[in-house]
Amino acid sequence: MIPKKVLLAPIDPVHDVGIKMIRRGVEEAGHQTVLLQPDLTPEEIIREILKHSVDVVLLSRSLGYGVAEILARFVDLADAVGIRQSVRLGIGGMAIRPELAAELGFDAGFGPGTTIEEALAFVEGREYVPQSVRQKKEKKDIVKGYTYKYRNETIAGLLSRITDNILSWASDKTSPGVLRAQVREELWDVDRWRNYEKMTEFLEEYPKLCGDLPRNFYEKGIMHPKTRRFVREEVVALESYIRATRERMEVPRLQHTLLKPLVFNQYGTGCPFQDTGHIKVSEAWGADGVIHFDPSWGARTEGFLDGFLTHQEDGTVITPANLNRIRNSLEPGTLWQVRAHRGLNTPETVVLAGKFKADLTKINICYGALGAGTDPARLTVDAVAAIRYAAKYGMHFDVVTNEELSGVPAYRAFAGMLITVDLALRLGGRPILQPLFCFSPEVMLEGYMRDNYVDFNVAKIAALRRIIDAPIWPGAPIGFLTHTEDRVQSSTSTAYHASLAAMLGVDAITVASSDEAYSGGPISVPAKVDTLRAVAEGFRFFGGSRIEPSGQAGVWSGEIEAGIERVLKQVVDRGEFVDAIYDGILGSREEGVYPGRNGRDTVMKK
Amino acid sequence: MKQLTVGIAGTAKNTGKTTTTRVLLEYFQGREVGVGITSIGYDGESVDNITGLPKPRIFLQKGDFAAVTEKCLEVSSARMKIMDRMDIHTPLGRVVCGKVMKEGLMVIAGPNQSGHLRMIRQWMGNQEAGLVIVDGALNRIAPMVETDGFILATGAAHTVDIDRLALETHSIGVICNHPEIMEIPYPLSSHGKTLIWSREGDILTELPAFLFEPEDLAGVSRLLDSASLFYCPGVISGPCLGYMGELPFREGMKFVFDDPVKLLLSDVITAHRFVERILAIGGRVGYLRSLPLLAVTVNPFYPSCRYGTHQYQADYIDREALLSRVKAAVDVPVIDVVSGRPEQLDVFWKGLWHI
Repeated sequence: MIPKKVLLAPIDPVHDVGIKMIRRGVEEAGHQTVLLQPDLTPEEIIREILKHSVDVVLLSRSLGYGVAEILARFVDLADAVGIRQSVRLGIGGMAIRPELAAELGFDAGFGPGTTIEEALAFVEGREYVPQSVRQKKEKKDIVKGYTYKYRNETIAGLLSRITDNILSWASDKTSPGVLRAQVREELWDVDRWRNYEKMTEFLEEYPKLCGDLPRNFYEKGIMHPKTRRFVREEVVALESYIRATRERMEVPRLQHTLLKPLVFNQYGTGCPFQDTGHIKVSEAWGADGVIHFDPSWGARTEGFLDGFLTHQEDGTVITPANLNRIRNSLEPGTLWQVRAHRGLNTPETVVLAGKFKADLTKINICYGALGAGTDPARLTVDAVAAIRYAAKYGMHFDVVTNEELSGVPAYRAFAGMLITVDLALRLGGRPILQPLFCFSPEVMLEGYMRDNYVDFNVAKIAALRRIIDAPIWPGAPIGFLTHTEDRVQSSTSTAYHASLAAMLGVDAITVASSDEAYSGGPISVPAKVDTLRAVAEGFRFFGGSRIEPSGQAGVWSGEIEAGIERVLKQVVDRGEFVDAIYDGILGSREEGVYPGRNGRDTVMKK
Repeated sequence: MKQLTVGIAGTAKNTGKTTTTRVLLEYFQGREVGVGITSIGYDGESVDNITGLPKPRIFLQKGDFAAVTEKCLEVSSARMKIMDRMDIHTPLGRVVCGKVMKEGLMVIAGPNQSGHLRMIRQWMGNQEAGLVIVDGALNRIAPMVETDGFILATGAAHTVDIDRLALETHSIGVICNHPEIMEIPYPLSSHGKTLIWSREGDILTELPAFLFEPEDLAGVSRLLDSASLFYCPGVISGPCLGYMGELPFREGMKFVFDDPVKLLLSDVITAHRFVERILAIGGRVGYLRSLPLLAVTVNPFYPSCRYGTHQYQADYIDREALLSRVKAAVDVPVIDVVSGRPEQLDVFWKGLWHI
């Protein structure tokens, strides 16, 4: 490389920070620089260029009306004095784009986000090849490094007894959901499906195990009233959209200097095309993973439909084609979670997710049997099967505690979560704890967050860590019930919760879009960007620093741990785990939850 | 018919360069004259790069020639057969030349420096383009030296002061059209310095090619009696011209510059006064190469910035007052290309071929 002589000038009253940074990079690369003072006239700068016989000139200037004419005059002078062809001219500034640089007569324009390398490439007259960040993001294993060893032996003992009970109780039972999962697992092959091979045996068996809606679909071709198939033009447009978006998108990291938490964001507009748009935005604004959720009627329906289907309301219909299309739209480094935790299709969802190589799923017996309406006995049978499939496909899963939102105290929801966790460990699964970071009815009533949102959330994490060495993924989403229809407030609140999560060293978080609580329909892309940008700013602001919770966090953490132990004892004392749910030990009618009724009396003897 | 390269230069952004280009283009499209177009700026975008206000678009017809960057082709609906890829690189990619095969809108950004414009002009010269239009950029004037003459687009976006607009336009007209074409001996013109020499042909002093401060002219006042010719190959600033205009040069003193752009790049009113002053004392001012001002277009539009929101909105000064005052200030055609009558346009454009 031949060293160049570079003149740098802030043709601006004051703004010269950026150009000083560029200068340092240029000098470190072995070039000679001349830095002029700010606020010189074009004539004065031209004079310096002539005096120093430089090879390259880099100007910086913030733009306003009339400034463009000053810069154009500078280029004109350079042209008229005959140096335009021998000296390369670059312009940088906040509003500079290539189009404007061309219009002003410069050889290059450097806008916001310009790297030293980019400026250096210009100085050295070589083509700037942006460092690809697409391949930089690699999937991270959330559970890696955790031993799952219990630190609270009493709780470990209680959980072991409950798991014994669940496995024993479920050992001679099955359900339509379990049977469908079995058919899907054994008779439906993803490669044959991709090759358009007809799976006759599957199609003979599967509809028999479905409810009316899917059976009518398979036998009579009747579609769910709020769904329709995509037409060919839409499919072509979707493929073209994905291709075009991939070509120009980058996949940044949100975490600044931190290694975690991973940031997840859900889609589920109902329309897989729109979902794909949301996924690409989430990826392009730094989300590490995306979450698929199905419509509420999907959880109450025995069986899945088929085909590439769009849906009028929230929640994206689970079909092989929908999962396949969405899977194929993901960037290689994006983690994909397919929720399976609550409905009548829990085990089959896990099977399908596994066949389409999802990274994560979501299973919880207690929340699914209380907050979302599936019969406790049915969900227990289904969850045992689902966890076995998750273990088989190597899909880790979070165990959510959203019953807190209905009024169940954290310690009781955590007891339910730990029951599923222990069951999962026994069955070879790798569960992830998912406490809520939320302004729940419990904290409202008890005043736990009267002063701040920090202490009680810190208490939850501390309590769980004292019980078991397991990964923690607060959700879902963080800041639940702190959000309002004000998008600034909403995204700011998420950013603070995300920063708190980062300070606590948790492994992942799920963030809401800023209009998620009040959208009155599908969440919007700008609102998704709001939150991801806010979270990135939070991570940037706090970096590796810490905040100090008050002493109250320690007190509450002890109370939560004691409460968990108390609830687990009650479950053990009750005898049957399923009865404990029916009796309200893991969430009562007084607190606001009821045992679910979907799928009641569908549990069968094997 | 000879080939003509016409530049469209502006006094500022938004003075109507692209509108003038469009009207000129539309007039000649479909006639017997083949048309070629390029731009030293960035034209045809839907909104302004700075103000965000709507901009006029450029529509090219089948058979038109164009020199644009590769990126322009990506965002244009017109389809062009690329005939040559030029060794001209810009922030928007390499400049390519070709012929329009399918009509449509075209974003036009081409070479943005004089040397590169010369290459494009030469390329167009080898095609069937009888008229080559070079759309300008902002207030840029330097590359216009590569044209046969230019149309000046001026208006309220430069200043809302109509008197000032008229005065500046008058000055530009005088600077471009009144001085004569002169020759100086080759060795002197390639010397790369500002020179003053005597009636006997001796060099009295050498000065920098680029005269920015009156101090650069130190010593000139001592040569007034013996000096007969002053030649500046580079740019000379307004203060330098002001200083020289005050010196009592002898009658017959000649001042030679490379082309009118060198004076236009100074303060045009000062440069105009300098020319008038030298002519008044019996001196002469000339250029090695001419750059005639062919016509003036006026535009009453200007973007006004709303206080508080910092958003731009369209605003206008008195259209008729602007037109009549500028008309009175110059002896070339002056037209409002937006509201001018078709027959005026006809006369106006036909007049171009007389240069």
